[in-house]
Amino acid sequence: MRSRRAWAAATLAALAAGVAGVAGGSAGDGERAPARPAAPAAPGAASGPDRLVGPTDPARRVEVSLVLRMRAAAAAQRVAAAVNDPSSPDYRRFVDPAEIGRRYGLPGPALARLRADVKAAGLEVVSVSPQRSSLRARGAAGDVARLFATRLADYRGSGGRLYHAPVRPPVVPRALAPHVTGVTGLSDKPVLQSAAVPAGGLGPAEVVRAYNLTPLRDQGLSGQRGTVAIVSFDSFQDEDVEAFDKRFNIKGPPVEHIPVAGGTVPGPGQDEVNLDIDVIRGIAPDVQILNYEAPNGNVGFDQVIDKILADDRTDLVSISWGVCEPLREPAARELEERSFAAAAAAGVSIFVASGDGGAYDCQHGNPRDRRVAVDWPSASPNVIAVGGTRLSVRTDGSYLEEAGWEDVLSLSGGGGGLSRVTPRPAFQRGPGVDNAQSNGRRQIPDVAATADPDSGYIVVRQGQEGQTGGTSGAAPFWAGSMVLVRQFAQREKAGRLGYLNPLLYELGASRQPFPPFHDVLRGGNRLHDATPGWDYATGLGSPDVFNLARSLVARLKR
Amino acid sequence: MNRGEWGVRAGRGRLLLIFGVVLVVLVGAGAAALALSDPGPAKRVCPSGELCGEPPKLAEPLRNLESYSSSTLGYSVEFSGDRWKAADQDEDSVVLESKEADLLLILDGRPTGAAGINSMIEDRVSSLRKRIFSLERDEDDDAQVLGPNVGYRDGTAQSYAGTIDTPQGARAQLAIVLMGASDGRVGVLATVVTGEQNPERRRAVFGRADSVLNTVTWKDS
Repeated sequence: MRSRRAWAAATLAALAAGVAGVAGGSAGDGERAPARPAAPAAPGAASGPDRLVGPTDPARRVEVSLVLRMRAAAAAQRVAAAVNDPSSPDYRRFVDPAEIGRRYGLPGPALARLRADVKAAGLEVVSVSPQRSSLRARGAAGDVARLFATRLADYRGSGGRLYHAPVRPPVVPRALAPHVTGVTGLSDKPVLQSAAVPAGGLGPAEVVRAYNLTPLRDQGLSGQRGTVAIVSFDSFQDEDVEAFDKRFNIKGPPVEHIPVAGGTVPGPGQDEVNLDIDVIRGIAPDVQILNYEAPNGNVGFDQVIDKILADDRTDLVSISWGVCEPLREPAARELEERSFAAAAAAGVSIFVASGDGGAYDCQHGNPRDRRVAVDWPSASPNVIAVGGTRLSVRTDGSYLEEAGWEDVLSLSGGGGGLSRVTPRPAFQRGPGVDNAQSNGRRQIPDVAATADPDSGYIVVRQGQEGQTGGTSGAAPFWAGSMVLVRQFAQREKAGRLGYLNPLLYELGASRQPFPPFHDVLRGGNRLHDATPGWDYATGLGSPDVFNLARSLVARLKR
Repeated sequence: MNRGEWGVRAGRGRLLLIFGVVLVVLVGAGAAALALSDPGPAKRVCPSGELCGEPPKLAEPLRNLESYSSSTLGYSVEFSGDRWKAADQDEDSVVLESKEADLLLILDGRPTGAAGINSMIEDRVSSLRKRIFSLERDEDDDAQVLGPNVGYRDGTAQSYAGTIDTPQGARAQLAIVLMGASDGRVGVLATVVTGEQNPERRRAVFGRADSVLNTVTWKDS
């Protein structure tokens, strides 16, 4: 701090001198500031000046995930599509992951042989996903490296954390190839980023008022006897939630810590976890929040989602973590997509933050990476991608207007654009969806909510009250709002909400008696403008939650 | 809500003088802000990429927002009086000084369409060259503004870096972004100046300017 202060004082003093007319002439237009060299890429990571430490101790226990050759992987994906396609005879006939495994996963005898082969190689089987699409194994680093014809090395990341990674891509051995198509998780470098931006400040009352949750709350709906899951690659301190509760007079059940892959402790990402919890708690104070906590390293979204599905305690999930889509290892993405599809087939709605770099998602982690890109896993067709807005309210707190969130000088904005890898789902249609840039790939976001730090959320984190924005506030906002909508639908005996995305697009495509969305018409996401109908900055728009609840109930009762 | 124009009026020449005076004032203000931002042992203030100070809550800025409206051109801008001090204005320009960071924001208006924005930028660069030594285009990838806009109207931006010799002989640097847009009738050019060089902190400081620039509206828009 001392050196920075001295530097800044000198800068400002010089500035003042320059303005007073002391400064000399220009160096000339032909002179260019020297370009700094690009940082070298780290193994299995987005970017950063990571440093090789040395070979990984061959005795160290490491884990790895195998991508299983499903009997009919494409058919399993089609199940998710059919269950959520109103024109399909299987519409809303939800299927649990174990059933998908029996129908389309690796057949039982083959799975038994694979287990034996893995054991023979000196590894132990940790778990097999219910849909029989992945197998998690653990073993000595030397044995794992030998099995997959690679070597493991230790690196120190820019943040100082030590991690291991393969020095060359692993290869599936011939003996396993009949049952295994890929290997992932050999690096435990944290690659998932939270999508949170500091500053701003909406309290629960303002959120409830602005997005018209008040009529639901006035009916006594606050999430009682309901559950919602948060996917976290960090943890939180119970005292912070208690302080938030005290600040806003919330008396709901304590948040449950549910460890995944050994769980984790509060670390550098705990602010994100606090944001997710506080936003949901502010909207639905009596809901039981299940915080699924995994270490940020070689644990993928698939493991967490599989655990949520296996526990079968909720059908609403919020994810505020992600990584620039081009940087996600294909094998990891494939496993994760299988789990998201299983969730959609089971009628589970997963709300995912679309990222905070606007249309340039990779720039969020590396300012020099200016590729047009979207965030993963929001680009999955089996999740609901939540983009960002800047919210304005009237002096009485009611909704005034929104603009697509774009802060171009600070490189921030709501994620949105075209996926490079995932197809556009059949349900994604309606005004604005087919546009000049459509190319058959998934288009995100699906919906939006306030995310600009100027209209962010009040959060208690590490003992202090702060204000935070980002689409990682918008995703739990949607999940929390749907807790109340689900409760409203239950009371109206309208049945399960299921995977909501097809219904949201259906409602968005036709005139509703109670308009469920605020169509955002201003702003953008640093590349795409908010336009009438669906757009790449804000999707269908933000919700008028009471109107959405009434529209959904009417649709479900048809 | 505190709206309307301030009583003080100034000509364009005086505005540039005011610009210099404000920067001088920034020396003291910046030092004071930095002193205030020094973190105590337990308080988490100014971590990497974050901003100092206590941002206003949403319900408050709607009451506390101040605004500037150009009496001749009709464009206007809103800003938090807790975060910004309006150092001066004339009929088509306003100078805002951040109370929290080493940051200055000038908004100039001129009757022009989108094609005239580059001319506004050239004129501003010429005036800055008289005051900031060694002003150069900053061509670094991370200095380029993607999706430039003012008040959500698409526009044009250029980034500059200025290097100044201090009386003590040390070199000090400025980062400057010029960004303008027009509604087809009136062009508005923003000049954003900061002494913050740390890229993460600079982005956070620029976020303060984003907050203001997003509020620019044109007459009849």
